[in-house]
Order: sequence, then C-alpha cells, then structure tokens
Amino acid sequence: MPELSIDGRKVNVPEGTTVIEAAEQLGIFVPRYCYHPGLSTAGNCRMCMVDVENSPKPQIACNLPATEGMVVETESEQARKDRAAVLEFLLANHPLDCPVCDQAGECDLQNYYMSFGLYDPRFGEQKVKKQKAIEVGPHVMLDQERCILCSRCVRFTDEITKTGEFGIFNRGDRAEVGLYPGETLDNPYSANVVDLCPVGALTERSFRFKARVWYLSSTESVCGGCSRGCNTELHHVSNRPHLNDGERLLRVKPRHNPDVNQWWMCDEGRYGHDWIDVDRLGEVRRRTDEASRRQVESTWEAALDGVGTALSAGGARVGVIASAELTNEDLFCLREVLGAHLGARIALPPAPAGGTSDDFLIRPDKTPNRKGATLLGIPDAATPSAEALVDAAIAGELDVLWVFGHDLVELVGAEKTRAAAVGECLLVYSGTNDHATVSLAHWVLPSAAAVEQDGTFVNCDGRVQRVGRALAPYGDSRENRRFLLEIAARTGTPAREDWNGPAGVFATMAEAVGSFAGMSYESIGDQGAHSAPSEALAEAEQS
Amino acid sequence: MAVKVVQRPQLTFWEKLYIPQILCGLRITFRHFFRNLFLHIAHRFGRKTDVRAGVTYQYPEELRPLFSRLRTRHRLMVRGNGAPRCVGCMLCETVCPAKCITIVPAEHPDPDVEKFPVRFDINLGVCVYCGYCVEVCPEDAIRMDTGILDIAATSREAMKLDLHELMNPELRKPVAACGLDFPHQCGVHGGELRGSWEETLAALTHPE
Amino acid sequence: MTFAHLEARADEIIGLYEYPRAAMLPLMWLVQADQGWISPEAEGWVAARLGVAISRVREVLSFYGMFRGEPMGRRELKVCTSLSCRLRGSEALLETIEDSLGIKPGETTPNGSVTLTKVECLCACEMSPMVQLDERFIGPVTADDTGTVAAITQDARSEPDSPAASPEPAPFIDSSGPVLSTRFGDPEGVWFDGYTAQGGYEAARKVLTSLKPEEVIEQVIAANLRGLGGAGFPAGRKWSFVPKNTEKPVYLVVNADEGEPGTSKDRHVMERDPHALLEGMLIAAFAIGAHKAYIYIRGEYFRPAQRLQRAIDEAYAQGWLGADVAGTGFALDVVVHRGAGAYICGEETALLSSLEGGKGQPKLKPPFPAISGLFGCPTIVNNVETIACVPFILRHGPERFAAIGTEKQGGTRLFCLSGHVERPGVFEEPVGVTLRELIEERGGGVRGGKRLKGVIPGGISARILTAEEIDIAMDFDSVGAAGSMAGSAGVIVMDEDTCMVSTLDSAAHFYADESCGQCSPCREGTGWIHRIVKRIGAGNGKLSDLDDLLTISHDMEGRTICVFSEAAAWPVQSYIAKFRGEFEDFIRSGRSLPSASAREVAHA
Repeated sequence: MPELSIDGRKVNVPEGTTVIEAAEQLGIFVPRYCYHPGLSTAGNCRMCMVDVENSPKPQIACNLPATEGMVVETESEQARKDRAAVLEFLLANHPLDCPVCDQAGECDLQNYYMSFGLYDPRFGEQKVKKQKAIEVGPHVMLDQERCILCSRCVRFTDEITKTGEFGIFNRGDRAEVGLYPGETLDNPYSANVVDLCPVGALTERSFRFKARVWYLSSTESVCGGCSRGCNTELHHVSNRPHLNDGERLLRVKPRHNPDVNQWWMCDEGRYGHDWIDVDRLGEVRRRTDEASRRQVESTWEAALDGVGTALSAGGARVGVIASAELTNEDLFCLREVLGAHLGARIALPPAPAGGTSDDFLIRPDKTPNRKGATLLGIPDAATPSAEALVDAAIAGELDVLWVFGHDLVELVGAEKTRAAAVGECLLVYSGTNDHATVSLAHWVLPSAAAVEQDGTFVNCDGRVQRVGRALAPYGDSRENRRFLLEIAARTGTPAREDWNGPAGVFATMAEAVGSFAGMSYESIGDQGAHSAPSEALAEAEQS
Repeated sequence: MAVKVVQRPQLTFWEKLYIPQILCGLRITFRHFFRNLFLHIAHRFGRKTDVRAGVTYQYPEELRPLFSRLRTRHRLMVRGNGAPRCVGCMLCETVCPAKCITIVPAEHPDPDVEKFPVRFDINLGVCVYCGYCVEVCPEDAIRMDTGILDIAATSREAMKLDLHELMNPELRKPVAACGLDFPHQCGVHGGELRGSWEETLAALTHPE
Repeated sequence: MTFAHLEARADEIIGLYEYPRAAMLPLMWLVQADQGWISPEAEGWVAARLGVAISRVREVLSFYGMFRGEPMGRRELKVCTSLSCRLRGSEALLETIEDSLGIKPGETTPNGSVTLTKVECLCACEMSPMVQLDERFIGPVTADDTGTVAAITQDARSEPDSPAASPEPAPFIDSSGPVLSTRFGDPEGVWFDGYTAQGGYEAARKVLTSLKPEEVIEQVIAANLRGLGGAGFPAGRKWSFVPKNTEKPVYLVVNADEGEPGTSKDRHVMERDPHALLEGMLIAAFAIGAHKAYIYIRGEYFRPAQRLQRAIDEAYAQGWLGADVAGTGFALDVVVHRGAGAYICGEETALLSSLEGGKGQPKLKPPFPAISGLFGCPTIVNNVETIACVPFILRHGPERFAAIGTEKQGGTRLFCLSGHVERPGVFEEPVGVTLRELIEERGGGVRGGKRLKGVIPGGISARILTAEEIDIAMDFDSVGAAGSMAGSAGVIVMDEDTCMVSTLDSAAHFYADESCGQCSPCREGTGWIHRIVKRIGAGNGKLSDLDDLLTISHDMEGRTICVFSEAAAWPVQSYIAKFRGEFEDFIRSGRSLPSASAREVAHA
C-alpha cells in the first residue's frame, strides 16, 4: 500500500492505483477529458498532467501508478501552465458554437476554461471545417467540429457494447470521429455516448434544443423500465410550460451505482418515460349510465365515498389485481388496507413472456418492483390468478374488483373485460394512463406516477432503492398510498398517524416485514441497500 | 438677562405696495411670453425658422432628439434571407431580470446556422428596459435602438410583442397578415406553428 | 465484386501472424494490388476475415497515405516535396510535370493512365530532386533536364509493365567500409553465396554454438553500439531490459520505416546487403530470446522489400532461418511487414500499433516495449543500421568496433549528404568524423563554391547549425552538446541563397501532414504552426507571429505521448532563433514565397 503526497496531503492507496484515483480519494479534482473510470486508459487529452517531483516532464495522472514516497503537485505554477496550454490547443479549432450547442452549461471546455484557463486566446487562423449536425443514430447527433477526439465514444462502443460503431478517421488535425458510411449507431445502449462526451459533439436527439441545461431541476430516482432498476437522474422543468410542448420531464440520465448499473443505462429505459405527460388520467371519473357506460368527471370525495361504501358493505367479497409498477409503500398500504382488514384476494399478473433481455443490464421483466411485491407477499399462495379473479367477477362471486395499473383487455381479452364490466361487480380502476379498461370502469381513480412521489422499489437482485419525487402529481391524480389510507378511514381500518408520508409508511413496513428490517430512507441513501431474503421470496423462486 | 434688539430691514415704499414686486417677478415670464409669441407669429409666416420658439417639443410632429444609447423598444436584427439573426441561445431569456422574454428554439436546416427561434415574445408590460438582453446577446441579434418610445396600448395583450413586431419595428398590433415564411408561432396564427424553410432559403444560394 | 480468388493467399498471410488482426495491413495491400483500390466491399471482406468492426478497417484506410479509398490511375507518379528535394528544385520540377501531364497533384489523367501525387520524403535524398513511378525511384531530375522529364512522363503514360524509358538512378553510394558498406559495391546486391564467401554468417554460427545470450549482450554493450534510428540509446542496454524469465514470447522487430527527411541509409543495407541484416537479426534474437522477428518496412520501399524477401527465402533454404537454424536447435522466423505511408510509424510504439493491425498511434509509456510491446509481450525494436552493425561486432570483437568511434559511441555510420552540396551521396564514416570534414571533404563543399548558410546534421527534426558551428564530431554526444541532434545522420546542407522561410514552410508542412492526431498539443499545434507559416509565406505575416510560433512550439514540448511534438518544435525554434533577422525582414517586406506552396495558399 504505497503512501504518496498530493498537494501536501498524504494518502495510502492500494497497489496499482493511479494518481488521478488517489487524488479523488483526497477530494482533489484533476481535470480530465479522455479518462473515465469505466473505460480503458487512453491518455491522449493530456489535460490531467500533474507536476511530479524529480520528473523533468509533466506526467498524466490517469496513467501514472502511485508509488511510495511520490510527491505530486496539482496546483503548482507548472501544472497550471500545462493545463492552460492544453486548453488553448483544444480550443484552437473548436467552433464558436456555444449559443447553439446543447452542451452549454454542462460543457467541460466551458467549465475548465473558467476554472483553469482564463487566458487571452492567440489563435487567429482559419479553423478546420468538418461536418455538423449528423444523425448517427436514432438517439444521437454528432458534430465533428466540436469533437476534441478524446476517444471515449470509441472506447465505449469497443469495450462496453462491443459493437465497434465509432472510429477516428484520418490523421493530424483532419482527424474526425464518425461511423462507417451507411452504418447507424443503434445498439441498445447508444445514448450513453452522449453522457460520456465531455463536449457538445455527441448530443441527444430527443433533447435537442428543448431547453437550456440551466433551466433543469434534477431529482435522483430509479428507472422504472425493467426490474434492473438502473439508478437515474430525472431532469425536469416545471415553470416553463412553453418548452417541450408542456411535457415536464425533459430527459433522464444514468447515475453511478457500482452495484447495479455502473455508469450506464439502456435506451429503452432512458426513452421509456413519455407516458408521464401523455395520455395521463387527470381527473376522477364515474359511470353515470349502466346501459351506455358513459363516464363523467367526478370528485375524490364522491369516489372515495362510493368505493368505500361498496367495500365496507357487510360481507363484501373483494378482488384486487395489483401491479408490479407500484412502489413498496403503495403495495404495503394496499396489503394492509384491502388485504389484511377487508380480506381481499390480491392477485399479481406475472411478467409477460418474451421480454427482451441481454447479459448486460436489460431484464425481461419490464416492471420495476416485482421483487418488492413478492417480499410483501403479493401474490400469496392462496390467491388465484388475475384471470380467475376476473372470472369470479363475471360469475358474480365478487362485489368489488379493483384493478391497479393493468389493462384487462391485454390480460384476459376484450370479451371477458366487457363481461366483467357489465355484471353486478363494481369495477374500480386506479392507474396513470388511459387505455381500453379505463372507459369500462365504474370508478376511475387517477394515480400519481412513481416519478411524482417518494418511494422505494426492489430490483431483480433484491436491492431496495429510492425513487424521488421529481414532479407534482399530474392533474388531480393522487398517490395510491394516500387514497388507500382515505379508503381505510371509510372502511374502519385502524389508521396509523405515522403513515402520513412515504417515510412513515416505510418505517412501519420495515417493522412488519422481515426483508426490510432495520432499513430507513437514510440507510438506503442514494445507492440502495440489500433486502434480506424472505420465505415468500424463497417459495416464489421455487415455484 | 440682557436684551438684544434685532433690527429688521425696513421695506421700501415700493415694496410695501406689493403689486410692483409681483410685476417685477412677472417680468421674466412676460419676456418669454412675448418672445415666443413673436417667434411663433414669425414661424407662421415662414420667417426666423432657425430660432426655436419655445423649449417645448411639439410632439408628435417634432420628436426630441435621442442619444443613440437610449434603450427604447426592442428589435430583432434580420439576416439577408429574411430570417432573424437570433439563434435561440436563450441567454436573453435567462438574464432578463423581469422574466419578460419567452423563446422556443428549433432546428434550422442549414447546419452552419443550426438553431433559430420559433417563438420570440417580449412582454413590454413587464420589461424594465435594463438592456441586459442586448448586452448578453452573442450574435448582436437583439437591439434596443429603434428610438420608439410610444409603446402605449389599449390592452395588456397588445403590449406583448412577438416575432412580427420585433422583426419589423414599424408594425403595431393588431397585425393583419403574417408575412413571415419560416416556421414560427405568432399571434396571427393563434400560437400554432406555421411556415416552412423552403421559400425563405430558396432565395439564398449556398456555396458548397 | 468477389474476393474468392484472394482467399488462399489471405489464409497464408493471416497464418504468418500470432493474431489475425495483425494481418490488417497486408490484407489491405493484397486487395489494393489486385483491384487497384480498396472498395467498400473490400473493406467488408477484410473486416469479416479479421473479425473486426468495419470502422476499424476504415480507420486504417484513412490513416495511411498509400491506401486508396477510390479508384485512381493505373500508374502513380509521386513527386517528393520534402526539404532536400525542395532545396534542389522540386517545386519547379513539379510545375513542369504538371504542365506536361496536364493535371494537378491529386488528379488522374483523363484516360486513367496515371495519377500525380505530392508526397513527403521518400528518403532518397542522395538523388534529389526525385520522383517515384509506381515502384521505381527516378532521380536526380530537375525541371531543366527536359529529356529525363519527358522520359518520365512518357513512362507515366504507358502501361504498367512496359519497358522504362527513364534512366535508373546511379547515386554515389560509398562502399569503402569498414563496417556497413563493404558489400555495397554492386547495385544488384550481394546474395547468399557472395555473402558467405566473404565470411557471412560466421558470427552467427559462433554466437549460436558457443556463446550465451548474456555474453552477446555484454559484447554489444562493450562495443558502444548506439541506436542508429535517431535516439542513440545504447543497443546492448536496451536488449538487457527484456525480462529473463518471462512466459510470454519475446519479439524482435526491425524498424525499417526510414522516414526522416534527409535520411538515406537503411534502404541501401536492405537492397545491397540484406543478409547482413538477417545475420544481425539472428544474433539479436538469440541475445533476447526471441524466436519470431518482424521487419516493418515503409510501404514506399517496394524493391527493398522484394530484396529482403529474396534474402529471407535464401536463408530459409540454406537453413539459416526456420525451426532449426544451422542445426543448432535455435528457431527464428522472420516476416516482412509493409507499412503504408505514415512517418509516425517510425516511432517504435506507433510501429507496434501498426504491426498489430491498427493506426500508427504511439502507445503510452510506461510500460516500455521491452516489458510489454508487440501483442503485450516483451519486444525489442531496433533500427536496420543498428542491427546491421551487430555481425561485425561479434565477428571482429567489440573492442575493434568501439575503437573506430569515439569514447561513448563505437563504429561508423552511413551519412547521407543532400541539399546544396557539390557531391551528394551516402558515405560511411567513423562516428567521430566532423561535420566540416563531411561537407567539405566527402561532399566537395557547398555547390557552386557558394558560402554555407546552415546545415541540419541529423534529419529535419534536428536543430539547424550555422556555418560557425560545424566543427563538431558527428557522434550523438558531441552533436547533442552543440545544441542539436545526430539523429538519423541525414545531413542537409543549405547555401547562402536559401530562404529560411521556405525551409520552415517545408518543415511545418511535413509535421502537420504526418502528425498522427492522437494527442491534443501535437494535433492542434502542428496544424496551427503550419497555418501561421503558410500565412507568412503568402506575405500576410505579422512580427508577433514569430513569438507566437515560439510559444506554441514550447507549449507542445514535453506534453505529448511521443516526441513527435519535440521534433516538430525544434525546427521552428532553431530557425527563428538563428535567422530571426531574415524572418523579420521577410515579414516587413510583405513579399511572398515564389513557390508552388505559395500558390497553394492563394487557392486555400
């Protein structure tokens, strides 16, 4: 374990650690372009040069192994000059694109110039011209002039996706990054190169020109696209409705988590968030006319009373079709309020077969919280399948069938869905988006989406991760947890004061459910925490 | 305690009469009155036009000369092909302390231009005329040098300028016809996106 | 377009390499030789055969100057425009050829017979100014040699296999020995029988049968043999860096990518005495424990590569290469690997990158090649001339070799004298010879009796020396102490009428063209320097440009992956430092360079 000194501070590091990593342990940031901890070392940008005692030339920190007694200066006169020189070279041919470039505000050329440059530029010649605004793939736009040839994108497509689309052609200052003519960048992780690119050479097509980066607010969350639960950052704008056609979520970026997704996320998950502001259910509805099944807008008061009454009628037989897209807090309230107190039978449809998957991040189960549901005992051994519940509703064996989030037409077919809707059974629907089942329900209670509430998911490896509340609930929708508690008040379920708010629900859940024992939102933090295995989980995995 | 007697100045005879002093003060007023009367009559006959009659500017026939740096109503500078010079960088929207600028950017077909504003609104009712938008613009696309000071309108809506008025300072609301070809959102079209680049760019030949 | 007829040969080629991917350049040559260019279908075929993404193939196609991405003429006439040729009139020659063929560089004649290209140094500086028509070098030829020019253009327009009307070059190549040039007398080369008749392979036999590898290394160290590619690192010491107990295979790689303008030496060893190189390789391979050797030879050296291959075939046939060399049990295989037009491949780690099948981009050091080089295995890269000295050392003993030279550098060198010298040529001299002796006695002084203005002692990367600074010995340490570099022994002489602005223009153009583009300071700096120098040459310079050039060149030094940026910086710094008055006068006068490159600027 060599000990070295950086900027006068000593640090002990494992053998093989590079100086740039050692500096990070001390909280010293060494500026860099080509270095990325998830990729091989290229050492071509020369930005991370540091001053090493007894070395006549500056050394690049990303390729220099720390040795015992090494003395490194990152802020000496020489180190500053080295950095400023490299910046001047990189900016020599760089186009004056800041006003039109999406990277402005999060661009490492801008940031480093303000921190380490601030020199008077000397370049007065014609800049090298290359191609601009090239659509290299469905999600990525390339501008060759802005590229600083750090080769991060080339190394990503070589080492991570192993698809090899990117190359750097020609030599000297005619070198340019690009694809083989006629090829497209369409691997399932293509948009990660946009995150990697330190400048505006690779930008997202879906985000192009929608908003300036400094308008965005950021919330840490977890992707809901599959059971992997890649850690994300949601970037949203609430106070400028004229941007992005009024859609509040502008883009999703992956967040570093060494145990789940490292630095990456798939394109399907990244671009699978359109449903948040499109075709959302924003108001409570009820069926006015049995014959025509016409629906009108209603109020939460009316809905909660109506549903509550139906549920608390003596001997009510209740069936619930839950969803693995609900947070643990929502599911726990569902279990306590509907299951425990009212004796409802709670079914959870299994994941549809044939979901895409690979040996990297993508999982075939496209719901984020199936494992959480299983840990909470949903479904339990006694429950029939969702189809059986629908049959029971058709046969008149159920008084209330409450569907969360699923389109029954997809589950059991249009005929059975209609049959269930016209029978004696009260059909209640709670969900986020509009589809065929919604118009058939007696009561429609719009749910808030996972990005509109705090909560937790459990991913495919049993890791409990927090989702963050980025947006306010759409229209008049409410968190499932919240209206379930209001139902509880009307059905006589003993209410719990500490269930106000998701953290309180989670605390109760941690006491009640062994897999979550000892956890809290603080202990989960922003990197998640492992749940303990449960008997229910073991059973489920055996079956 | 000693008593100090204070001698107050005695008024003269003429001063005690009051009226002559009033007339004395009015001397200046009457001097101006008769001078202006004389000059206005002379101006009516076309004489002595090189001398100003009164300091009053006979607005609106006669405008007060303005310094070039005076911040007046905004205008958007226009390129040779009729499109705005603005590239939709949104620096003015960001820096505006009154948050009176609203911009929606979009893709420009020429990759050397790349971006342009589909919507550019300035709410003059909110604008504080600080001039930060002019200072911050990297393209010299917006200026406040029109010299237009009469921005009064009869409704709040009429105080909101969009692309038409900004690109053509002569226009006032209501704008009858939208003369802009390139894609944009404006009041004439009810905020809907209209127009295409084909006609505007056809006039310009790009060197390959 | 089908490639079925190439499959068998492709299999053979791929079988020569430890990893299929290393066959990238040879497969590209195979396709180009067969079809005249490398089409997209060909790229796809190469990618499939090697199991690499097609973008890798396109990277290689676009990086190397000799690979053609579009159909060109049936023949190619290359006109060398680097410094030695420019000093003797290559610009006028190019204009004459342009007029005669009716096309500009980069264009092909309307009937598709010949493409005209401008190239950087072909390292035939002893016959400058010169051209290369397909595989043949032709020179010296100036614009005034109307007969030769006519013969060249006639050849260019004729079909590839027609008899040549233009003359074979006959430059002065020293053959007086004692180390390297002993067998250079016959331009057709000395082959196996002739070589062994003069004692060839005796040293190898002695080494393989009676010496241990450490003893060989000791002798080479004692001989003070320094790396003659340009760096001057002690060769024996480099060999000793190879780990003794490594499980990985050890490789010997010979750097025959001679590219430094002003240099011409390795080519003569390969063309006239190839067996000396092979014998040296045997001894070196034995010393480092290598059983596989590659000779990386620049792509423009068609005939030297053929002669090398002939010598290698002879050696295999005579049992001096293969699984059991001369019955001693030592095994050595040798593969000739052709480059494709990139000066940077002369840098040892760039050479290894190229040999591994990629672009010629230098690798990060550490690790050094002796520890982790070709395919991640211990590798020794040595220059042709260095290896060619080894048989003499082992045959006659290190003391004799060391005694020929100076205290710290033994033996001789092949000096190439070019530029404004009366008798250009290649001369073998002890390393202690002075620059004055070389120029005045061997070279006959400055041509036309003119005064000497400046001389570059070791290829264009070396700092220039003025007429007062030529009383120095030409070994590495002496030239280094004089503020320059012995480098590749390419001595370029400039007379009093030489325009230093034009000289700097030639150097700046060279470095901007040849930079690999990997790291920021060199990629941007070489291009920036070139643009400023072009602007000065076009008559639009400012006095502040000179200080800018110095600052840019200093900012590049020490901050890059390899020393190409130093090589690019030193000419800028030394020409401006030693001839500043001339630069300032040029700028103040507002005149422009009356040359083809100035016309190029006007078009830009």
